[in-house]
Amino acid sequence: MKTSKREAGFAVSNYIILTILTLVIVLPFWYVLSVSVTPYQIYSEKNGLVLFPTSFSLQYFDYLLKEGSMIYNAYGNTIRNTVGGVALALLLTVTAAYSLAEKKLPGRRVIMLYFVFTMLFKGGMIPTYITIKQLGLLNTNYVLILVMAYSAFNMILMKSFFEGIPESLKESASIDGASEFRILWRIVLPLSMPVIATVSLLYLVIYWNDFFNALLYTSDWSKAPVQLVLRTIIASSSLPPELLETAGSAPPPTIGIQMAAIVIVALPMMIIYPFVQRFFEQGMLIGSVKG
Amino acid sequence: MGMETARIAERVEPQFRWKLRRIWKYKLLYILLLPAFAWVFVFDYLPLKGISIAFMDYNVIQGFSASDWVGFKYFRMLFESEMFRNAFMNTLLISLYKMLSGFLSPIVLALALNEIRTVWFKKTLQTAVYLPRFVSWVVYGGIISLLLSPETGVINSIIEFFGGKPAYLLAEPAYFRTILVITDALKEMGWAAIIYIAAIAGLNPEVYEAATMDGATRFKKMLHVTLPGITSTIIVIFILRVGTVMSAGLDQVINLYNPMVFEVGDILDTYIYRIGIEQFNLSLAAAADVIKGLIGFVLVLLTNHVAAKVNDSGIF
Repeated sequence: MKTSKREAGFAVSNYIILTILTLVIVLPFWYVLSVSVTPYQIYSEKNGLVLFPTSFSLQYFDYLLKEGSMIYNAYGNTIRNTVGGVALALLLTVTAAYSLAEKKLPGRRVIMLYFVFTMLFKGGMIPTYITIKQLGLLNTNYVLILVMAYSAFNMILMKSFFEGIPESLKESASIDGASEFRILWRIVLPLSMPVIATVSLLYLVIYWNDFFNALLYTSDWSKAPVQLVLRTIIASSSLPPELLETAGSAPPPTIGIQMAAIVIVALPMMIIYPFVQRFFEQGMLIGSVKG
Repeated sequence: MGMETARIAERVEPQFRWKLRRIWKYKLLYILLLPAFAWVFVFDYLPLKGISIAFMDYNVIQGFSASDWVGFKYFRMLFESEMFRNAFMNTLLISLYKMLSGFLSPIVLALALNEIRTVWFKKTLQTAVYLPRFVSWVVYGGIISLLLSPETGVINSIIEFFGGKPAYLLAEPAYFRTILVITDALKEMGWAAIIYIAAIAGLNPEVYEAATMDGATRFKKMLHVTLPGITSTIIVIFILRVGTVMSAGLDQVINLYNPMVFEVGDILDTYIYRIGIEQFNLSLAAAADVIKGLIGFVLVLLTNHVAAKVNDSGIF
């Protein structure tokens, strides 16, 4: 009796503590969303405490997304970088991981050393910057696609998964005369959906959320991804004129614009990740077991 | 001489040809390796050459060939620089604090989530705590600074509501590191817990049944079955973290700090960025890069060595 009471106490406090923690994590996001659609008058009447939008207005979004807004171009840059980047990154990662997963590949140890060494020692921010500059990539449309297109961590994650695919499956296919490309395309890839989904999502997040590479390698607004524009909107309490054409009507209060801009930038990833979640739990499991 | 070579070649050839044939057999795999090989060469190996500018008075316009070698001049400048020493110490301190919170919190979270038996509730919590991992530090840092802002921040409204004095928390040296550590944990702990959740899912259910038969409470099972079961995962993650001590969170700090808190919040990466990219003192910044890289390299080798020991001799 005493034990079961204590059991219940443990369970209940566990539920309560986890619920509070989750609220601490999620409420700020909810709050931002809520402020972004609340008319400023109500926001200031309530002293900023608007947990639920009691009335609804899209004035901030209208302002940010009106014709000629800088946001469109930046959003286009982000989408181009993300789509191109994830495609290129998957190509580099899958091909390298598939080759290196073949244990009988002559010279495999030396090649692995080549790939792993740069995980241990990197040139660093400035030497890399100088290299990019010398290659003539600075401030081009494709520099951001290129510089983030390969991650050794993701390659190894995928390689571990490929190594777990039974040799017999590949062997029977090669006896049937299938080429390596065919084996990769028809047998290995369909079996590897969890890890491909996981790695795709990891690259997707890297590309969508990057701002530091953009800060380093791009210098004019026409090349800037949306994260960089958001950074400027948040940093400046008065909005920079080169970001938004303020001609015509006066801009709505800055706080609302900042919150709405956050929503515009963050929403796509927040919508996508729950759908991929079941894959990345599986995908990370393989990575952790192989470690 | 010619006959000698021919005779050796005769003996070596079969083996050599056999090797070639083996390589030929895998030609497609080598072709598949090429794209990533080239990428790593261009973006990881070429920059290693750029390290040399740390030992030069680098001439930005004319490049390497027009720059004079100056030996360790910039390294001496760094060691004499108050700002560098400050950034160096901050990097270690912030990493250490983050190690405590950011390393322990996912373990506790995974253990706690494992005790939730209502499936839909557990799934909902999991999805919710992963959320911040999917936004950038521009977004998360933006939310934090808006919430903490002295004029419009809701946190200050709450402080005032309870009779406290509002403050610009992000400009207070006394709070800045604490804010870094807490927000880092909140952003990353959900995602970091996945690996432990996966490890827990792989534990043998029979051990739990045996423990239940012995009358162990759930809390006891958590401490004496689950926790020991994931110890090897915990050790591996810990070791991996030690290897990254020199990176204290560039994306986070650069989006949250301001000149008021440089003294406590400036880290090596932000220092290198300011000196190298903003002030264009590339040689000095590259010297700082070299120091950071070397220490990181030693740490990774050291921790890998320890990791191998732990796995082989099986301390646990």
